[in-house]
Amino acid sequence: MAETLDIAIVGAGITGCAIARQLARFDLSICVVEAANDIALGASKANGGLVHAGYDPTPGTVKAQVNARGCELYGTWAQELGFLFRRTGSMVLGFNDEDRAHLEQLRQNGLANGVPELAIIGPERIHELEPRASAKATCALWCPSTGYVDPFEVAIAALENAVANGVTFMRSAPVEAIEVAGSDDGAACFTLVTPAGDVRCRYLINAAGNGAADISHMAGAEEFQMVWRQGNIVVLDKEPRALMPLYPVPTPVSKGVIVTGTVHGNTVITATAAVREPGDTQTYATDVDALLTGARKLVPDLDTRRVVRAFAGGRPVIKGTNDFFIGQSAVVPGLFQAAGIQSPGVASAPAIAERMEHVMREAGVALHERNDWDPIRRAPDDFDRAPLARKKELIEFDPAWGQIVCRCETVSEAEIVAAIRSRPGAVSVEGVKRRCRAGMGRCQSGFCQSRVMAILARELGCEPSEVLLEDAGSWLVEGPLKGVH
Amino acid sequence: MSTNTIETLQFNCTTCPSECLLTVEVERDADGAVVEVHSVTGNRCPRGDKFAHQELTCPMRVLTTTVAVSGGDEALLPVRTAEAIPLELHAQAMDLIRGVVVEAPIRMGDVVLPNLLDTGIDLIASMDIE
Amino acid sequence: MATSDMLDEREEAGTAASVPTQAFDVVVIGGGPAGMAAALAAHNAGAHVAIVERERHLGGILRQCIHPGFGLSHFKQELTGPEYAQRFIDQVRATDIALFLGSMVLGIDSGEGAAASASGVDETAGDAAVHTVTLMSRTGMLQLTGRAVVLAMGCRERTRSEIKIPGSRPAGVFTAGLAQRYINIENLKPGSRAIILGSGDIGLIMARRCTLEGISVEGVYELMPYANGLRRNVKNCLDDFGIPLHLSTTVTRVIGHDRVEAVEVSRVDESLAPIPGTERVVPCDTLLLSVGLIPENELSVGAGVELDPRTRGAIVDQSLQTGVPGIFACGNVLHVHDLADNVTTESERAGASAATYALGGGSESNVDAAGPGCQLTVSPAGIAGYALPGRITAVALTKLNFRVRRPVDAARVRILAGDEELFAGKVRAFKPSVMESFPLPARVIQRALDQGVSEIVLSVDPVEEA
Repeated sequence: MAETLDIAIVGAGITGCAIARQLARFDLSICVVEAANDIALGASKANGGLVHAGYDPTPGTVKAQVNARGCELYGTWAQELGFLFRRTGSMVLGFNDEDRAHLEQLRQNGLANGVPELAIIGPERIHELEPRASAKATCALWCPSTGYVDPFEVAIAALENAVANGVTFMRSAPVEAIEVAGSDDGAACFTLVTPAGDVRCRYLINAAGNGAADISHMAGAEEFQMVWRQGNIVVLDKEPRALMPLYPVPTPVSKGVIVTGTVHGNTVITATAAVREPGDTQTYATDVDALLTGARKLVPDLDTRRVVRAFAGGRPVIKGTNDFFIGQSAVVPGLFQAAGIQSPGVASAPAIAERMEHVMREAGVALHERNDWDPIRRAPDDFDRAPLARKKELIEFDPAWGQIVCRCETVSEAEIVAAIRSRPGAVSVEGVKRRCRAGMGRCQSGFCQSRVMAILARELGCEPSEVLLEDAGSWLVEGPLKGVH
Repeated sequence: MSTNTIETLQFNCTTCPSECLLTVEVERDADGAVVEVHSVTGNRCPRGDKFAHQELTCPMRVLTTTVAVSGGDEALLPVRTAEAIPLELHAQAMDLIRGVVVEAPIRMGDVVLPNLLDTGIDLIASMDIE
Repeated sequence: MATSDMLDEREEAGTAASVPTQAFDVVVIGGGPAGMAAALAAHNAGAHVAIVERERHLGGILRQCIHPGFGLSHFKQELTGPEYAQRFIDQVRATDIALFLGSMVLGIDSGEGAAASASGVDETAGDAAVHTVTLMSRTGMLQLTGRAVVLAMGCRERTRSEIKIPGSRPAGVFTAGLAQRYINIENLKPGSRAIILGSGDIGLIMARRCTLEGISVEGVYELMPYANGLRRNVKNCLDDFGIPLHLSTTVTRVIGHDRVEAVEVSRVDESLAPIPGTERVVPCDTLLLSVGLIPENELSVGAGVELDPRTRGAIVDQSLQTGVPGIFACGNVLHVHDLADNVTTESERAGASAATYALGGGSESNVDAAGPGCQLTVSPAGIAGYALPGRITAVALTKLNFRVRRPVDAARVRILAGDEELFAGKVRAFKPSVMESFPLPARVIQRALDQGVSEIVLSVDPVEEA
């Protein structure tokens, strides 16, 4: 049996990765255990990337606290972890007096939640801030602290930094059972049974997203009832200038259809909200239509023909509450829960991690700072964004930088190789895409998929027929056609 | 004893880009075999008439596919039959071609398989490979 | 790729002295059939020409179009795609046209900065700006200057996302061209049981290729009530193999979590909306999409070239010059063609025009040739989906290209100026799959000018049959 770790974190979504990064500064042995073959494949993947400011959640809720704080922390996190973060500000557009009353309510809410610099503005200022916002908008809630990130990039940056500081990562390890036993010194000891091997730990952190209820159940802790609040999201092609996030007046269950720029210059329309069968990640024609219609209401000149991708995911909502559950299990000591992390999970992630540290300290977990902790993670070189002189230098350093594989996003072979060799590296075509954008562009890998496949096969030492699009079972091609009998 | 039937068919001539829509009156025997092509109309040149007769007796097509290459800068060499061969032989030809491996370099027009399936037609390279 | 970051780089590209520069009369971007034909024509007109090609080989997409059907009009014999390409490759190789293979163009700069940085070019030779093409390859960064640039980058395939097919997102959904690459270039079998959506030529060709290679094709599904590809391809690729063509039917859902397990197909009504209750689940492991091509103009837009929303290619004049003086466009980057032969013919015109422009010292001589005062825009009407060129600046016999939006048995082409009909063609059938070509006589252009109009209309109007 393996050694007993201090901490196992179940789930390598943005929450688990952020917690791993937060705890990596302490003298602890930590393993992140992930069911899928890569990080952030659940709710974190199906996300528009907005760092909501926090004027939305009901004051006093956990959500309200971690959202505003998370948004605040993003600046530091982005700087230390080298991911792209744009604090663009946002507007909630109102179209009539009724909307204006809602906006005022939101503003009050935001003030209670500690969101800075909220203001109700008129048409002139709206147009000044975002010329493409609907001219029919009569008022708006201007919120300067809103921003956006690429959620995958945040997660991978956090986990890379954690791994660089000694955290281990175990992939393709769905937890099938959890044994809870007392250890010699009286504390609990958890054994996670997974097909990739068992993991023993003194403390268990449940950050399993949509799987959080199962993990809690397996550990004999809280019985969460989860609801799969499904959302469709549409990505449009790049614009000369990325749009400021524009929100409609929210509904009781969702923030409504939001239009926003992305760190890569695309436009994202996010998201619908419908309770569907757990695990349903299908897109629906009705949802996509609703997104495009909703988006045109906010940005009338949006060219909604230029859809690059539509996708869907489920928000892990705890039935009966709209709040996050962050804390030690009341039933099983030593189990720490980060459950029900639905929207705004991305915006809250750094603060959830911070709160988790606090909760653990309060529970008596010994957190001694290491003296060799390095908070800095350097972003990999990005050829497309590099200045000309740097481009030249990179190719002189390694000709693979001069070999463009993905032409839509100008991604070189060197970047793909780096994505595969990084820790934790890409093991699939989609994993490569999320790390370095190869295949993320308008042709959706029609041009580069076969080339990325060849590089993956070479780097992983496997046959093309063994290369996966995403997780197990997602084979792309069978064997060769010719030269065989 | 069943008698022969007269059938009217419509298909396009594929000899040239004009793609004339041919209307063909054909007499078949009880087994469906073509006894006689009575008339061909719709063709704007004599090649249409010839095409229709051929199409009803033994349709001919150029077969294009690939063969494996060793020692080249491409994995596959595109190949074609130098002339059209009977369509009904295409599947058999593919079975034969599947296992063929040619050595680079290759020049367009090089014979890959001579006299494919005794048709008298060679399988030739469609492209240079270094 | 017109992000603000790219724009920044282009500005920088103009002034970066550290990148080596080579000067040409004409720089052709793209080494497929369009680029090769344009380069050869420019070369034959006496220009010093360069071709920049992304791939290691010339030939472009023709290298994977191994089927016959090429060359019928240009060479008067039926060739395969690679053979058609090889003939041009051989011609190019026999010249001193400079080849930059495995090279990707990052930007085209037509600003004043570009002219200033083009060392070795006599700036007094003409008033036209010198275009700077920044490219990269495994050997480094390079800048090519050209008095003229020919855009010949071709097109890309529309994706599943652009046509918004709902459902899951498993492996096994390929554009037809990607599947064609796997089968014809990479020697890899993309699946065993395929459904093809779209009866365009690539879809039809792939139905046959799959069948020959042992991939069973369950059917070809087409949204429209008619086949979108050439008749010869319906006949030779589907009928020959007994593959069913389901018209007015489309894929309404992709099923399968990891790999495609089935697709749901539905009949559509006259407005092309799926009809509830007609859903049918067809098991398969592969979905091939042949749902249209889109000119790949990100580079053109970055260079300041204005596009026609109908073709999604550049707005050009009769010499195929775009709105940016000295930048020409041809082939599928200009508008999607039906036949490579037509690409060749068009590109030869673009190459020759580019050479004339480059050797004549730029716009000065061109304006003289055009004659002053001829500025007509050409707009489509009726069932014409587009009209090309969009601008006419010379009173001369002008080749007009267009496609109809739906098939008709009887229609005629009419040229209108204001209320007056300047020209009417004969009544005949038109199909959307065919790119039509129509010679506009010089006298018609002159009559339009005499009337003082600024626009002529190419209208294709169905006529009632007797």
